Amino acid sequence: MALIPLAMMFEGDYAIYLLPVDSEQTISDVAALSAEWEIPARVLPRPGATLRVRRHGSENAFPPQMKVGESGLGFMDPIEVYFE
Amino acid sequence: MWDRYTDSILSGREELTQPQTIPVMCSMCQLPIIHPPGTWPFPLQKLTYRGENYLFCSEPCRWVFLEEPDRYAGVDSLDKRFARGHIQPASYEGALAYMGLAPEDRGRDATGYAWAESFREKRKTA
Repeated sequence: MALIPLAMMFEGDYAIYLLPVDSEQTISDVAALSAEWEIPARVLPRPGATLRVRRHGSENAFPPQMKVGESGLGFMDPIEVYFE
Repeated sequence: MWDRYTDSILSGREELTQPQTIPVMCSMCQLPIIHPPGTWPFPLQKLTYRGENYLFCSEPCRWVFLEEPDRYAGVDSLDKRFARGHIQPASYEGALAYMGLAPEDRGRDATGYAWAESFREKRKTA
């Protein structure tokens, strides 16, 4: 278990936030934690949409059940959390 | 964004207008990295130097960094200090205390959120 702080960009927000996650958490956990902080405070929910996570600049989302420690994400790596 | 803040104020949920974590800062100017609403994905300026990630608010800040990278590399912005565990407690409140901002120093909306009240009636008739 290791703490990995990420730079999280959430679709619909205007800023980037520090998101500390554990290497044992899944990508799905990362999306859920991001949503917990962003919805409804800063971003409108989108019923029926699924939240996905990808490395900034990548076209492909991480598999939801992949662990953060397996994703290759490291200290302050920027990620995008977006609706699909 | 302001629609969400207005909703939170009008529903008595002022706490939702406060961030749950700290914003990521530009590695050069130390200001929070933001972008105009409506731009997605965010055109982030970034750099990996000697194995460390550096994020910037703009291309000029990234350029300044690269002019003297050894001068600026390793100087941690507030968010990196937080990420490394140098700020305790590791919470938003802890970060504010680290910056010397006591609760009485932080202030509140200068109008007492009167601007939000002006939307209450509009929303009733909308």
